[in-house]
Amino acid sequence: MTDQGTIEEPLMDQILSRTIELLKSTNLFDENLVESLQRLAEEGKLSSHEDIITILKQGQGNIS
Amino acid sequence: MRILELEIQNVRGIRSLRLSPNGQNFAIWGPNGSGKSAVVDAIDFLLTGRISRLTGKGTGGITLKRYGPHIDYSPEEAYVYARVEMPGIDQPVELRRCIAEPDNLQCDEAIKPVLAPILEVAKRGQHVLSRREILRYIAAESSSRAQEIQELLNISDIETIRKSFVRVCTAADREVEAQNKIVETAKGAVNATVQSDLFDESLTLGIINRNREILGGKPFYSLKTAELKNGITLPKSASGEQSINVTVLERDIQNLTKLISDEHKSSVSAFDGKLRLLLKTIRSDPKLLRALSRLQLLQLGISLMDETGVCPLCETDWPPGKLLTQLNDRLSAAEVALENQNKIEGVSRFLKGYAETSIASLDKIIASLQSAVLNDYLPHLEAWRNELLEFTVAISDPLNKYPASQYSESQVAILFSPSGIGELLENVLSKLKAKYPETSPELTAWTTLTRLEENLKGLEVAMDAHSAALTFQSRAHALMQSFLASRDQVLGKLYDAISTRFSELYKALHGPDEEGFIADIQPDGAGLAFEVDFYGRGKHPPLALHSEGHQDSMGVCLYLALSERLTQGLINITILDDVIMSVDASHRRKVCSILSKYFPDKQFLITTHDKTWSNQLKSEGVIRSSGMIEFYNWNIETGPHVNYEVDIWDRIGKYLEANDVPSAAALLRRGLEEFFAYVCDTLEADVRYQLDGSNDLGDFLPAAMGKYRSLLKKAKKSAQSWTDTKLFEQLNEIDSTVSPIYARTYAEQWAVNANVHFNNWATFSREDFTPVVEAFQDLQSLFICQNCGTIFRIAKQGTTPVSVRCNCGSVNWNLVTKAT
Repeated sequence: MTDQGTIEEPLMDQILSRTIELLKSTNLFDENLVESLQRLAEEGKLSSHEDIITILKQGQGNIS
Repeated sequence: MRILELEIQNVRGIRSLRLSPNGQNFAIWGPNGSGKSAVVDAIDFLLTGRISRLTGKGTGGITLKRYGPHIDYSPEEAYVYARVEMPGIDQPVELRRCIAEPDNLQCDEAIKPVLAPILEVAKRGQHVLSRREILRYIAAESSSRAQEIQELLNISDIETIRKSFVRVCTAADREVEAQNKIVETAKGAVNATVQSDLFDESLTLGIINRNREILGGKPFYSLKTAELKNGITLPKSASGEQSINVTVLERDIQNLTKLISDEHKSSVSAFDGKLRLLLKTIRSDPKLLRALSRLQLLQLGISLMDETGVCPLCETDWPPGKLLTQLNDRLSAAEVALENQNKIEGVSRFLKGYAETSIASLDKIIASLQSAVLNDYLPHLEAWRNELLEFTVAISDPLNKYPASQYSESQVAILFSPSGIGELLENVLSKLKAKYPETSPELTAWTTLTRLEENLKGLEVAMDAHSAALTFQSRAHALMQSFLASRDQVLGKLYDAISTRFSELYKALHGPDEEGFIADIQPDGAGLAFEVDFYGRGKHPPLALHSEGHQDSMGVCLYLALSERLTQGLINITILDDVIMSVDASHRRKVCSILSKYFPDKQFLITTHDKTWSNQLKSEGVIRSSGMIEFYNWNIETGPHVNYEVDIWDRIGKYLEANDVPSAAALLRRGLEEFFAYVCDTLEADVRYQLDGSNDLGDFLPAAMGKYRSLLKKAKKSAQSWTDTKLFEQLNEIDSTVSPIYARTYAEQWAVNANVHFNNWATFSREDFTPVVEAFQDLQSLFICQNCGTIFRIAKQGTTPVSVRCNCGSVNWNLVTKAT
């Protein structure tokens, strides 16, 4: 339990949330990309490298 | 959450079973295949709606609905029911889950909000330690240990995701490499049009502006590919001219003529000679050749390495980073080879450049001849083009493919200047000029701009694709690095927290021997570095110096530390499914003490096939008699036969009520034999050793009674010496009860009076046997703490017995007499 009395996020979720935060801090990922990655993570599809490649190629050349 | 009552109907190997742990620890013991793990499966199912053993690696095709129910029953007939105690709820809560509806936990709607976080934690499964190979993550290599622990933490997906990210990075790297090549080819096309060996923006801009000027256009100050013809038009006088611009085409012919000029011939010959010499030098020196071959292998290996440390070629498991370090060391050692490789690449690049520029010009000439239907020249030019193409393939990998048999020095000279090619090109030019009279400078300028526009658009597309590939590559590597950093941060925090608890438990398990024990658990790339202190001589991997027994106990302590951290106080029940077996016997008692002392709030379900361990659990007070359940004689129709080990005296009483003295006598004898065997162990009584282990009650009972009396005497003497009047009086009182109880059992007379020996009990009448039972019941109570129910044991300092104690501390007889 956390100090607030709520249960901690599962470790895997913690790792993925932190990853997303770090990606947001770079100028390589816009909101759409981050959302797409989050959705893929929620669907448990991060093991599919083809899906990730499709997302990372979205909006290429439009780095914010 | 604690289990008060559990009912299992038709789940796995269980037909019908009711248990009443009443929130206390309970143990199930029985031989392998007696159905113990089915109870674990049932609890797992009740809490999570799945059976962990039916999921994961190697369980494809095994479904819950098909294999969850007992083999003879349907999913609708298979369910688990429990009455549980939950934090914050005064009344017990009823839970029921049926295999037909695994997602539907039936319970009072009102408690669902309270239940939700508990079920969420249960879903992660960290309350069940059912792996029999728990110690793999103690003794394993760091990468496989990490995998084991990650599985325990339900984060084994980390490795799957990391591998997926590695594949994404590799794909991105390859794409950048491929796009690089496309950009170079596109630049080659521009070079052919502007008749330059190297891509030069200002030269290209100059040519564009010269042509624009011819057409009355203003100059550009930078390359804007889409606008090459902005502000200019083709003069009407030139618009009706022919489609083939011989003036422009003449430049391609000039490119080729330049190639076969004496100057280029000697240049090609010089580069080719230099390349051959370099290759010959390397090939004639086996060491250099090996170094170079190894260099390529090393470079390939390094490019394929991922952070697991596993060799990408033979898949041998290396500690993370170690193989990479070794490869980099060797790469440094191959510097001479690297220098040679760079020279080879430099020289071959020139030859390849000549060939590619020639191919670009040949393509234009061939297309024009096809358009002009001058087919006679095509076979020669097409054959030359194809030979040059083949040459570019060979020269791209000179160490392995150059010079192949078809590329002798003279053949290469011929390749770059085929016999009669000059004459042929002259003929082509004159034929084209005859067919297409000279075009105006305006049309030539227009055609040049059109071709450059096409070239530059091609280059722009290639560069855009290259830029996109670079973005993709940056994103892929950023994703990978962010994921690894996050993984290390989250797991590092967890490992820090459990390191301390683990050390505390391990020290408690091993006592003064390991007082200074410190563990260091850190993420190490994809692995998990785990080092422990070895008697103050520095930190080392557990496998290196610690005995197997110590490693085993580390496994248990590590699991308990992890489990405590991960169940977050929401699930008190912890299931140890046959895992303690790997701990050596001498430390199992300490394990019991740890379970009682450090985890008083937990409800342990311990399954074991080892009766000794089950009895230790009982004698050490971890499990009370009522919590000990024996499974035996499992069969498919009935499941396990169950022996609820209720208080032995109740059962004897029931036999006597039924006037079944032989059964009562047999149970008394078996119970006493078991009990006093433990007393002899805990009080270190001298027992006659028998090689075949056939000691019986006649060996244990007198030894235990004698030892008890002698310890009591010592304790009284000690109390007297310390003037501890209160303790002395207590001990005196105990002493006064000992002799009458001993006398009532006749145990001390067995050696001299066979008639009172336990062998004769079965022949007693109920009236004769009842006082015997009462006497032994009183005798047994002498050895048990009335507060915590544990059997008295000797505590030592080093090898010296210093006291007689129970687990709760209510009994504490000092055995050390004050020095006078």
